[in-house]
Amino acid sequence: MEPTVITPLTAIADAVRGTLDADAFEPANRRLRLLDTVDRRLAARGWRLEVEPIAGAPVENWRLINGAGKLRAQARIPHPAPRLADDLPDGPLRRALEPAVWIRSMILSPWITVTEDGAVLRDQDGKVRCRLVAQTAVAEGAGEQRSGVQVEALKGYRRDSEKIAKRIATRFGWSPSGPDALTALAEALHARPEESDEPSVADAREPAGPALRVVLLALLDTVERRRAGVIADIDCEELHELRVAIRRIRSILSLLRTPEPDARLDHARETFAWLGRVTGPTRDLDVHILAWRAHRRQASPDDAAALEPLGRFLMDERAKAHAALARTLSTRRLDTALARWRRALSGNGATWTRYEVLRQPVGDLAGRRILKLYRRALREGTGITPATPAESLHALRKTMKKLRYVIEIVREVYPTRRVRAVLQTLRQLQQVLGDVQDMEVQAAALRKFGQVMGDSGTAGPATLMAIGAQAEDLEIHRAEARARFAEVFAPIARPRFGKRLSALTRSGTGAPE
Amino acid sequence: MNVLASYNIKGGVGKTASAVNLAFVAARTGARVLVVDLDPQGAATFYFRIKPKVKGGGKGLVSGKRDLGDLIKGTDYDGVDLVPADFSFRNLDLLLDAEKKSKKKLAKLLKPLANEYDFILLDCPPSMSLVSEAVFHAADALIVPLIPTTLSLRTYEQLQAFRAEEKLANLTLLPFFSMVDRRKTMHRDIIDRFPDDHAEALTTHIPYASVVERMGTERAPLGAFAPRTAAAAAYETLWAEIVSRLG
Repeated sequence: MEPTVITPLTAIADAVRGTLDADAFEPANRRLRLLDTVDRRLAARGWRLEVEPIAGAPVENWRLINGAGKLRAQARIPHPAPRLADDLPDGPLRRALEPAVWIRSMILSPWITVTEDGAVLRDQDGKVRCRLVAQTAVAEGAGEQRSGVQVEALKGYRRDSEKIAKRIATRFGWSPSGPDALTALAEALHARPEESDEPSVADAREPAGPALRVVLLALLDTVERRRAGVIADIDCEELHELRVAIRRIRSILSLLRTPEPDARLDHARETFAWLGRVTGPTRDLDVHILAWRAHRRQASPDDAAALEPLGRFLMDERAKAHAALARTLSTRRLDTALARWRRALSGNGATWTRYEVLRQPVGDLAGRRILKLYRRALREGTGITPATPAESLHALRKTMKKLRYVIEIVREVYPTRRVRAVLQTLRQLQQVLGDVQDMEVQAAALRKFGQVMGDSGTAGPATLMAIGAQAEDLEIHRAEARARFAEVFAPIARPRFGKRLSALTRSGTGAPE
Repeated sequence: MNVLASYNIKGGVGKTASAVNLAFVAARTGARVLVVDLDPQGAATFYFRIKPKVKGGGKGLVSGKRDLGDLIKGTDYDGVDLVPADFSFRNLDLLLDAEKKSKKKLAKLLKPLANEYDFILLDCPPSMSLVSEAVFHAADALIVPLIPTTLSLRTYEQLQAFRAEEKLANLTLLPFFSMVDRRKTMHRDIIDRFPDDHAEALTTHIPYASVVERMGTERAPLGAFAPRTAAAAAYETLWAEIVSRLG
């Protein structure tokens, strides 16, 4: 139970101090904001990143607090601050943050006012043994507020803090435990609804139309949520997840081939194909920027400095592409199309069993599609040799993506371990196919960027050389990935894998495996 | 994690003041710092107002019966912890001598703390002994305070010779002048000449100042009670220079 502090803290400290001396400290106010990623990576570690402005200085004080309430690292960061740990100045703070937040953007919370009042308990030598702190944290505009009293322990003096906490419980009837007010407030402010971006059919015997309609509705929710995230440009992951949701929707729509044209489904196919196209350029630039960052991390300090103009160029291009995308995603055309699709999904249930294809068990429908796509993948992959043109690998990649998405749509009706093992095997091949294509596309794009930058005079010789080196690096990785193809395709081409897949599609449908 | 040792064969040159003040400054920049007081006199322990007592004493520590981590005490300053001294540390040499691979013992004891601290600062006793050798094997760099006097420079030459003899090429030496009185001609001359033969010398000097002596009565690092003094500022500059040297 959260304590209601009526007794002044100094009086509490005096009552529980025992042989220690209690010195009240001046009440202090701090105004700060908190940073965390959208998926709350810092909070998941029990960490808190505080950002406090420094009066009259163009810098902010960043303090990373660990789960025990101790300072883990801090640094003064120029304002406006970067959103990625990768762009922070080198030092303990960056080194602590990088493994935790990786490439995720850090998002600012609303302003928070923290009021602290308390007492320091010292021994006869004047050494601090523990602190008694009352804290109130109020978020501006959000209407959120948390209060609490903590006994802060010092390493090696835990017994003192335990004694004090025990005395408070005995004397005043409440326990000064649990997270401090600011941590509790951070938890509330960064809370995000736990919605799955990977909905799955739950019953293989359910008619395909109604079963897939539920999945499509969940995916539409994802599209709406991620669309808002992309417009606000919260994190590049928003666009990636939006595109994955679009591909999942298109994958389901390809399952629902009706014997005669269906206006609702046809309109949805057009809408999501269009959405896939318009989101492509910004995503491509996001991938270029991620690759540039990865390359910069491994480069020598001189090469990293030479690559900076490329980073600026990519970010400018990305800003332009994102502005255009944000305008497109905010259009009435899209509002109308998505609203129409939602009505189609939420409307009369009978229309979702109108055709035979919509009435058959979803497990059967998906199973047939899975095996068909697998056979196609086998045909496409078996003929691939080191001399095969890249287009063939690209075609196989597309087939493999479709195969994976269909399996994922029905994965919950299959035995968890078996479906996970199959997906893992497919993912290994997809990774290699993805590397082959992405590295090739990125190397070509890099050379084009270099040419544009050279022509416009935004890149000097050192930068052009560094871009060339990065492109060569990508070519080497592409060649390595290409050489791994046979190795990762072989397990999928084995008859045993075909049998496993076949048995998997029959499991959960009631059919003998 | 970087292990730095504040070391000089000679006593009274400002080893402990340097270790304590540099630890305070490092923590202010966001680093997590552990000071290990290896000197049985326990001056660093005294400055942090911590009792010079270690459970199990030096024997428990060296034999491995006690984890170093269990002996750590939080100081009054965020980011600075301390392993206090114990009077039994006067026998550390003998205790180490009884152990196998005694020179590597300290490095082994510190290893489990690698993820908890960005810097470990060893405050060493003024001698050349088995403890010193264990320190040399554990440390990445020796921060060597030198008073600009002939005798003090002589001890530095001895240290350099020992380093060469023991083939400790990976051990960085970072000498700097401490207790500098610019009014003294000898101090000025030595400071001017020293870098000619010692490219490794740090360029920051710590001035002779009564405020540093007051650390004993205040029992606190300079930054905590006299942050705007020249000496406190010098320690800040010195730390920045050390960090840049460590790369």
